[in-house]
Amino acid sequence: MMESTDTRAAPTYTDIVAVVSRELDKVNTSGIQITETTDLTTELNIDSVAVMDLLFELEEHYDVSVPLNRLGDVRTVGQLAEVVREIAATA
Amino acid sequence: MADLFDKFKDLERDHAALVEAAGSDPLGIRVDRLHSATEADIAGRRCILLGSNNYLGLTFDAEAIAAGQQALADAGTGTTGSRVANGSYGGHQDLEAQLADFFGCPHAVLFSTGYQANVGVLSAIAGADDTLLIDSDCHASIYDGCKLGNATVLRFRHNDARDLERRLRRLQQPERALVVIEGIYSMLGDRAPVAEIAEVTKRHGAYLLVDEAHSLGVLGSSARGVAQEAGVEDQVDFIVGTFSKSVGTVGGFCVSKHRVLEAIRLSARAYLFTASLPPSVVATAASTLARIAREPELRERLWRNADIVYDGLAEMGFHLGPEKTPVIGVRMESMERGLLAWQTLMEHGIYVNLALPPATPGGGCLLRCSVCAEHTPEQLHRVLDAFSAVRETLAMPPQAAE
Repeated sequence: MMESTDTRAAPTYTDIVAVVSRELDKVNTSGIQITETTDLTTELNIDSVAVMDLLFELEEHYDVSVPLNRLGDVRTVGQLAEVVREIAATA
Repeated sequence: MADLFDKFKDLERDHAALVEAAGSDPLGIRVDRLHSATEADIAGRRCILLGSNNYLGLTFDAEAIAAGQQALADAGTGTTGSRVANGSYGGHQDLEAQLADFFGCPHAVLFSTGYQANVGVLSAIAGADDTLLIDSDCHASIYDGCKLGNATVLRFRHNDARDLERRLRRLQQPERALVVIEGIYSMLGDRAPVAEIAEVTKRHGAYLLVDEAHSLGVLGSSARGVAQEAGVEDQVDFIVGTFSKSVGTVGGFCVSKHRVLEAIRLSARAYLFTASLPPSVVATAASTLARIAREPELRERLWRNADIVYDGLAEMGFHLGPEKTPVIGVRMESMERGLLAWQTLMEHGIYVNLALPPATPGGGCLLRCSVCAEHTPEQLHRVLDAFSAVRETLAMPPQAAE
């Protein structure tokens, strides 16, 4: 579970990057610093299932459902944050 | 510049490391000779099969073998055609009628494998404006069926009806949604809470598909699976299943109370664009399905054996899946210890499946055991002795969990 923050207003891209980075830090064994350009699977040594599980945390945090179909082109932390931002903005 | 084949380099490196660590290839086992449903020669050693999915031990059923041999003689080795062309024999249609009768549903469609049943049904049923909600621990065939279609695909937390409900609540048109779960999950052997999931699904006006691959022949008063056991079959819209577990051969199917299944038959690409099952396979499936229906003693033996293995391993302190079923997942804390345990079991003549991430829930390494109704008390005694040797090899403290 993540720390509680105000999720009533639509979250900003920067907010979401921060939350994604914080969640990834829990499973990041690579030792590298996570930024918006970090590649989720090639740099962090986590598999596609771990990425989907990360999504559960984001979905609960922002009360949104992110379709798996939207993850096809996602490579980086920033791209994932942008998908969540777009969905949260229309929820 | 990256080459077409570069993407395989990591996989090849990881596999080579696995083979080196294991001393042989756990993913490339060669079964040299079958002695029975429960014993085979593997790597020059006679092994008890504790990882076969052959829950009822019907692969050597004498009547089924005779029926298969007769069908081979009468109808040849294969149909060489699709069900919608030259590949729909009387046996295929009779088996569909038998499945419909077995499940008490008016409609049944055969597929050539269980994998194709999921891929065919899911990709056909959910269109661009529809939503598929799948349990996160669903089998790869369900994920692949979702990927092949154009529906929006949402994944809910494993066996979590509340998480499913949150997602159904967010949908604008839940009546255009199909919820997909399995009866018994193949890695840890836990059941779906199908009554809770059905209640939530129906309250929101959505549809429900249950894949009974590992629960057909195992659960329910007449062996139909988890929905029958939970008394909610009337709330299930589609049941998918396979012949490659309890039924003891290969093939897949979908049954439904909805007439639309006949339209799915005309639109599922995994049904249209592949050859139908060989007549011998159809004949053996018909024979063993009939035996499952008339012999509840098979299930009783299976569950007695599951009790022995699950309780025995739990007493030894192994960390098991949350529920006692014939699928028993023994969790290993690391890949190294999992490989060591798997090798030790092989040295003691016990074959189990070595399950590795990402196929395993939680990303760990599992020794996946499946119990068979035909395992004898002596065989199960040997199984538990071998696991006792694993405890010593891993230096597990008394009663400590792995």
